[in-house]
Amino acid sequence: MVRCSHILCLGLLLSLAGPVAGWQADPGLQIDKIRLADTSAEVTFETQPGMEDPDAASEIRDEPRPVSRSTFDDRYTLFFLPSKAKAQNGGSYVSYDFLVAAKAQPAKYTRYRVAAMPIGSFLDNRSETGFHIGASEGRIEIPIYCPGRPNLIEVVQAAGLTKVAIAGQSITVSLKNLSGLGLLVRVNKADGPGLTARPPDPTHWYALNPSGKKELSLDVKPSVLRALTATYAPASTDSPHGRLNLDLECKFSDTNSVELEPVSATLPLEFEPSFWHLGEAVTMGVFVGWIFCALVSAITGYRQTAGIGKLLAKLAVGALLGWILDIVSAVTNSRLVLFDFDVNPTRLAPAFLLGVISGVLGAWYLDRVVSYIEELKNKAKPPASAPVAPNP
Amino acid sequence: MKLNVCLRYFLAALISAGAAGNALAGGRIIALARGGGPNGMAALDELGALWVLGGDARSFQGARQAGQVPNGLSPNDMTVFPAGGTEYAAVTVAGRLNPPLPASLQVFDIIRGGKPQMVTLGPGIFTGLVYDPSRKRVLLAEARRLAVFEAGPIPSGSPRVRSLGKDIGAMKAIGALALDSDAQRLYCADPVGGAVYAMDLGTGRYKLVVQQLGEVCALCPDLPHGRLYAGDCARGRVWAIRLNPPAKAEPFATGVKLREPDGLAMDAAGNLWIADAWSGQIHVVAPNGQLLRTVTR
Repeated sequence: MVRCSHILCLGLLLSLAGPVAGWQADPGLQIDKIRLADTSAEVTFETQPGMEDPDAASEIRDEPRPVSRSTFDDRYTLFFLPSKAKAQNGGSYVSYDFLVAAKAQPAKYTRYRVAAMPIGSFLDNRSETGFHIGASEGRIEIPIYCPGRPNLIEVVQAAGLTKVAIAGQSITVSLKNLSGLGLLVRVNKADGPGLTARPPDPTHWYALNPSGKKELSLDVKPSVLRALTATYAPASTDSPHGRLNLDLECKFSDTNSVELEPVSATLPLEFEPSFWHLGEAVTMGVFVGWIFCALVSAITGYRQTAGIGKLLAKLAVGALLGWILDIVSAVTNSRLVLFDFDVNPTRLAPAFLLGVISGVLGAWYLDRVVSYIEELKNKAKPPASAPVAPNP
Repeated sequence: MKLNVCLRYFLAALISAGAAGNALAGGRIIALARGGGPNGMAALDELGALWVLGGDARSFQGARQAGQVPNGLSPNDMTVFPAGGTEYAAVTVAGRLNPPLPASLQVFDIIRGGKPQMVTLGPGIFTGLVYDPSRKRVLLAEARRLAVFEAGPIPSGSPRVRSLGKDIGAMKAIGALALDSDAQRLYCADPVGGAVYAMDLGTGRYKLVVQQLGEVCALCPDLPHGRLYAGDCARGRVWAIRLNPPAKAEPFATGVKLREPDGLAMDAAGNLWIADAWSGQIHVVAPNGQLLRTVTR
């Protein structure tokens, strides 16, 4: 009888202890090695001993994108917290936080710190791997990071030069995410010799989906005088009118604690003059042409029209006014639209040459015209009577 | 001489008074070291700012900034040492790929200030470091090649950087370093393998001291008591390792709630300062493990 009561008590104790015994504080977690198929790189995982974590439930709740997977036998749930991934020891490995909950005791969690050690170089990505909790198995997809990676963002440059109006213009820069993870990107610095550029909102982080593209808008503002000077020569990719140096700050969208190096790129630019700049080039050309004519006249002794000095002075003042007008128009981003036709800026050098030719021809023809007018005037005058010799 | 040093500390404190108030507003503390004046404690945050706290500090409000790692570079670890009537803090700084920049050591005069001395370390990830006063050199852990390097003489002269040691044995990673009193043994933390190794600086050979410590992210020697403290970032605890054979690790300061004890240092009174990168707090613990106070923002 005594024995029976002992057995009953023992059975009662075991039945009470049953659910508790189903949960172990540290059942043990192992993550399988990941081998990347297209490279010889791999990621190995080392798990530290686990510890019971009373704050785990709130952390899972607060995690923006937690990942959870059950073991095949449905005994455990494995939670992965992407935001807790952190580059450690100078970036020699990345630590992950995993939480394990037994289905029998879902309110109790064991936290595991897992060190992921990349071997070789690869682009950060997502990868599915196996995991083991005690004797149970499962599979989970996790991000894998490679701290010694090359750049994850490519600044896609259009063939040739990016055209920018001298008065300033908004251009689009295409960014490509080379990794399989979501990225955030912000323009840290955008400038170049004699120009500034800024996005509409410099503080905004632009999201780049895994392997996705993003068009980034930048307001480019060149220095007008410098750009005007540059546009007298034709631009090529080897010697562009200007260069826009772009410095991008990047980070992963899932975690702030795995650093990404800033990305730098240089865009070759071609400055485009406006209608007003063309007019200014022509005016300057005319002015130079007139000066050339005046010099030739002075050297050869060819008779110039009497009012040529005054004409030159007027031309100089006109050219100066045109110059100021052009700068003002450029600064205020003035454009000329005629019958829905936006006057497309072209090169300044041909316009300037045209002006020079016009000036030379104008000076020459004007001289002829003035001479012709003088001749006409002379013809129109009645001939003076011949002098009469006095009688002896 | 002593008066002169005290006067310098006083002047430095006066000069830096303007910087106090918004101190440590930025990043999490990743390293601690005793220094920055009598009874002072130096702290390095993840943004590369170097701060000095008073030994009786209860908040960061009175901290003064004693240096700043060049903009955009990431600091890894720090050590503080006296030399030439002042004190220096050496900070390992990570290299960069774009534009290419090698890893370096930035040596700050944390009393007099001024521009830091830069020692180029070359390619690699230089994590833990410790100053060896007997040979005026800095010993560095290089995580990529799993090796120990030395850079010296420091702070003056033209420092040379060369590799030490032979076979790192079973170590999976190398991080924090600590030196014993006679500068014969260098303790190396293996944060991935969860162990502490001792390197004989004479022979260059490594020996396992203790294992199963978790993610060992900080070391601090307490040589008068024959102990070595190790911060475990995996389980959020500090281990007190008895160094006399057989070496044994026991949980220390179990009453203090920790998550990532990333920085450990001992003050002049023998109290252990524990920087918890997770909470942003520094806990000051007596040698018996009792929490004395918490330094908060």
